[in-house]
Amino acid sequence: MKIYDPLTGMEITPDEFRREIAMLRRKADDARDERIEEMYLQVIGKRQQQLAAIGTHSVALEAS
Amino acid sequence: MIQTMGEKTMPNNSEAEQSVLGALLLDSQALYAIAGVVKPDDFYYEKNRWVFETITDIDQRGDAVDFLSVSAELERRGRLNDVGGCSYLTVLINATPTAMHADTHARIVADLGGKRRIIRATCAIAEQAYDGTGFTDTLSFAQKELLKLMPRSRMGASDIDTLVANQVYEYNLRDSDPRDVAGVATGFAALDDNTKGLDIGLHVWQAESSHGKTALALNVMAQAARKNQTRSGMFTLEMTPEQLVNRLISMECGINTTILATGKMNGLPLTPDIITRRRDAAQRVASYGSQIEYCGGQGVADIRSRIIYHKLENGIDIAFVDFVQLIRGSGQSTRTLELDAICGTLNETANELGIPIVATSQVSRDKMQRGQIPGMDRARDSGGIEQNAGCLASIVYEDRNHLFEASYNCDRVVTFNGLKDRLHGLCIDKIVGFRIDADTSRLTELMPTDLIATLRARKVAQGGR
Repeated sequence: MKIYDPLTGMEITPDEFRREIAMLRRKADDARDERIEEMYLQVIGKRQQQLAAIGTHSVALEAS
Repeated sequence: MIQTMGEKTMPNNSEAEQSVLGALLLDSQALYAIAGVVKPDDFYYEKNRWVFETITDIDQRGDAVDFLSVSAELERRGRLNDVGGCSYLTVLINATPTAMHADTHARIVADLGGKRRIIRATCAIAEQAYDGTGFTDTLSFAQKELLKLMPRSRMGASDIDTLVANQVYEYNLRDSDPRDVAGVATGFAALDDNTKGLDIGLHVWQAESSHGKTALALNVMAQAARKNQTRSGMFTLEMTPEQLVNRLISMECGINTTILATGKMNGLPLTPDIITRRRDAAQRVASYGSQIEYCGGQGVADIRSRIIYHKLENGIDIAFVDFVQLIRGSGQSTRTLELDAICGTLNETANELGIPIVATSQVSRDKMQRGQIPGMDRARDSGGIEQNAGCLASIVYEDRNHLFEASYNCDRVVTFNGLKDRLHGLCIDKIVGFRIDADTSRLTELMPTDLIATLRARKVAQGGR
């Protein structure tokens, strides 16, 4: 399965999801407020589901 | 606020706007990826524009950008309810397919913003065309309106933030460019060292009649194309494009222009070797990617239009106008005032298009004194030429007959003498020497020792020691 960017039609690659998850995780760790951390964790959860749907489990995903 | 044009809604993409803003709320570092790509008025929806401005303002004062700081700032500005409250910020975050594509989404937003500006500009042009304004003024208005739409147009930028961003962009380009120039490189090492490249603005190269103005312009055109793939536009008022192309091919193959033009050498047909050289040279000239247009008898408004056309259509990097005294005036004022206006228009055109325009200029004959450098006061018919030029240089034919044996002095030598450089503020007393091949008018730079000998010869000719 592949996931496409609905705005451009470009594929969102597993590597892009992994990099985004890593970035969001850093943001969540550095969050100055629980509400901000919660927001990042929600987006991370969504991205992990998308990554899982592609069928490519990453090191980053397993580590989480 | 929905913007419409008649029955149609103006081009926009709500999802792309939301995605860009969502990406910025997730990762404010994305601002650096989209810097210079999108600006506030590219956002069609007012509330999205407010959110974008709020995010950039928070980032510029060095605070963290997240949905709490953005909602607090919107609240402080009395805009939070107008954008739809904190829940709208959550909508933005959820609308982002991935923050990794923020730059691509920003380009969609910027492109659509640009299209809306095109529609507004063309409507304004149409309005002007319908009222009583004359054709020339309407055309000039239309050109200015369209030039404002160019991505890096200097006319559109006025606030210091945008100007600094543009300048940083230029710095980055120069950092990655191994050449030691700030403008369009001519391809001649000493000339580039002297001028640091031909920067945006009007450059005037003046000389007495038949002293190498056109030859220098053609050689720079050819050398810049050969070495840097620079695209030139030559707007000729004196020679025809066919004559100039013959000279370019002659310079490339090293065969006399008359031989090429007549197809005969000493009255005999050309040898296969010469035909091959001519063919190969023609192919090289054809690959210059340059434009040559005959503008004889035209006024400066027509020439300005043609330069703009070739910039937009063919992407020329530099324009040459040969030569400025042949540009037709209005006939309604003195020639001096006409040339002031002509050079002023050429300078404006260069600045608006962001390219150098080199105008060759003939110095007055009545004060002709061979061996002396024509100063700023000798531009024929006008002090306004010097006034409007960012850079002014005199091309001087160097008479070296008394210095060398006749057999050695078969080639002509000309020097390029900088008189004024407002664009760079560089030292202007540097002189660059060229030897002109007598058969082809191809220029080669003089070696330093030869240049020194030439300057000594000039001093002797002027009565010095």
